[in-house]
Amino acid sequence: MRSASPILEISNISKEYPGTTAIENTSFDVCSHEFVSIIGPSGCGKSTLLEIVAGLIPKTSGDVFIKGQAVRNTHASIGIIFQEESIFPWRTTLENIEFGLQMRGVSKNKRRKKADEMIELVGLHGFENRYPGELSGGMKQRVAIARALVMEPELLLMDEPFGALDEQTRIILGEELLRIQQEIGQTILFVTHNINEAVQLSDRVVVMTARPGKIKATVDIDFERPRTSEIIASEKFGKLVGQIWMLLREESLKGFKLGKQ
Amino acid sequence: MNRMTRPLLVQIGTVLFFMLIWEVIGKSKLLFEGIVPSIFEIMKAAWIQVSTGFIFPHLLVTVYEASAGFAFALFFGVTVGLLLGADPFLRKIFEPPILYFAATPKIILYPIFLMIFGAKFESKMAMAAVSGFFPIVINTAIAAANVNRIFIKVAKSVGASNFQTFTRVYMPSMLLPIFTGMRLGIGVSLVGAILGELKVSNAGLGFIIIQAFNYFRIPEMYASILLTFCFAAMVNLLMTLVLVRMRRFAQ
Amino acid sequence: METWREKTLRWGFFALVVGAIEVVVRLNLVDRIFLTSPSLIAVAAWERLLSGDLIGLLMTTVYEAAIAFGIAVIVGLPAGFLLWKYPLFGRAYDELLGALFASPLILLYPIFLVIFGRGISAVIAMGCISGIIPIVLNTHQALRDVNQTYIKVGKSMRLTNGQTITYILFPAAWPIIMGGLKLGLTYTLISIIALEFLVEIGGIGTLASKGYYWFNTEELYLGVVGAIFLSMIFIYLLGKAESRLFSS
Repeated sequence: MRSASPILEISNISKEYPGTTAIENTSFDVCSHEFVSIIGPSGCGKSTLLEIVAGLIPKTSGDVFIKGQAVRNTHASIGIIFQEESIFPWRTTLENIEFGLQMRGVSKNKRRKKADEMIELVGLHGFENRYPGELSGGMKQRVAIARALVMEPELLLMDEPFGALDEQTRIILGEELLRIQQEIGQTILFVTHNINEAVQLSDRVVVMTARPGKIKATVDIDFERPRTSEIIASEKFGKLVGQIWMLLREESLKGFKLGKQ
Repeated sequence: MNRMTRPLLVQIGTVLFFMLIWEVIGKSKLLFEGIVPSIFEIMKAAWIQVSTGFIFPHLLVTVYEASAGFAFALFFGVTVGLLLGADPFLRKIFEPPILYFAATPKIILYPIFLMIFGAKFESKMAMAAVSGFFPIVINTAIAAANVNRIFIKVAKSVGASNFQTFTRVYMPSMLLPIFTGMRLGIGVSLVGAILGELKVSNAGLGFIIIQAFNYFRIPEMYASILLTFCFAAMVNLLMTLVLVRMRRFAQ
Repeated sequence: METWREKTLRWGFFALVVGAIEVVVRLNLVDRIFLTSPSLIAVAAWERLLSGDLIGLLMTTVYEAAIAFGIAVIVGLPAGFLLWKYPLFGRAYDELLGALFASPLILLYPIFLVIFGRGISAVIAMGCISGIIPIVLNTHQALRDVNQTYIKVGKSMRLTNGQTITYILFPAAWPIIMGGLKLGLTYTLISIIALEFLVEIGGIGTLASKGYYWFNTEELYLGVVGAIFLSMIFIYLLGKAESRLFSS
């Protein structure tokens, strides 16, 4: 169910590099409490789009609005989770989660309290004082999620966060993510190349074309919330996956021909 | 001004800058007379040493000492290295002390060599041998221990004898790291011999340097040091080129 | 991890060698001028220890190394940082310093003697130059190797430049920087002991030299053993420090 107010408005975004256009005239919105996935063939610019929204790379043209405010640089109310390992190996779990708050000057007690809440939320109880070297890949991503969420962002961007994990961990973390999103009502924009994942998690799936990336279609996923992984076995799930795959297939083949980006 | 040449310009600029500072300090009254001679004086002295052939007998002595010493270092280094590499148990016992010893200043052993061999060539050869031993033994041990186990299994499974396995599997894969060890070894052997000459000698590159120092012939001292340095750099360059060739051959 | 068995075997081997030397000397198989018995060396060591003499020598060497290394760190760390901040200079000096690092700098010591005179400044200068090069090279490399994702995390949280350097860049680069410091200290110590021996300016290295010139074999070996012992202690302590400063 969509609520009326868009948290994120992407308006005619283009991104050009010398010699190639990564993204061309892309527009869509993400509304409050929505979980939107972007899926597309390799090299279609979905990660680029995410980094533009995050303010990490500049756009060639177009606008990005967060709650009506134009975004040019990194923004305090946007959090981002990367696919690669991004938690700091020299900090414990708690210290990692507290990082953003510490940089903002939040007092030690307050930070600790909020971090503890996050630990409970992402299910890392008991691992507060471990170092990343002692954590599994899935746990490390939970820390990354906690670190971003503790800042209470309006919008959470996730760039293939479970891409480096094995299938079972991915499904479990996907369920965890759904639970967390339900609990705190987080608005999420999620990039993935995994159709099952997109259908399992999202309210809407935006399908992008091959380079230069545009929006090919948007598919509504109307499973009820709260969701469980039982939906994976349902017929509707299979139909939706098939529908998205048909859209994607054409683009993937194009991307394949263009070669590795 | 393209991207490749700009660092080069900075490098050249820096060298020129230092040469300028050198001249300025030399001309100023900051330091004693003659301590920092003009670069031209140094070059002139170096030219004289080369063109009159003064330096060559001494160069030869040093090369002789360093080569003989290096030959010993090579023989013992490779032998011990192979032993350690092949037997993990021996390696566990003896590798740590070897590594520790490798980081000590070998020149401190020089008086022992002086007593045993006297002040002539042999003591410098011993210095060269001891200095060169360590890079070689360390690299050889690592090389021998890291021969791909799979290749060995392949050799055994086709019925190769121990000797064949050694020559056909071990040796080719160890060649490159051993040569790297040799490159380092030659460098430190040379330096070891020269350091010995600097302390107690009557011939060699180190000898003429310290002679010039003792007789306060400062420009000549700088010149000899410069020439020695150039020689060491040339040897290093040569070995590096050989290694590059080998690397291409090995791939 | 090492087993006790390996450790005892190693020390046993060492004890065997020392014992063999003792026997060879006692049986007068070798001229006493060449080789003294380890027990006599130990006696001389003990006497000198008690008279404070030996400690004085060792301390001189340590003191010189500390100052030289201190200067190398204070100058070297910022230099490495600047090389990273200005990549043009970084690329240029990386090559130059790399070439210097591979060259026999110790051969330049007569120049230091001539310029600084035959005293402690020459030793410290030599030690400093020897140590500063690996520090600069490693610091530069360490900063270049910092995982860019960490930087992105900082950017997304709107860190100031100062915060990025203090809380992300430096901790991420620390392991390799520490490696450079370790290398630098080792090279500094080696140069200083070598110079003490070559020029007799004091410290433990000079003991070996004096022992040779004055035909005092006990002193000679005491100097040799003392210098080797000092280097090894340093390396051992460096190893311990390194493993303690790494929590993960």
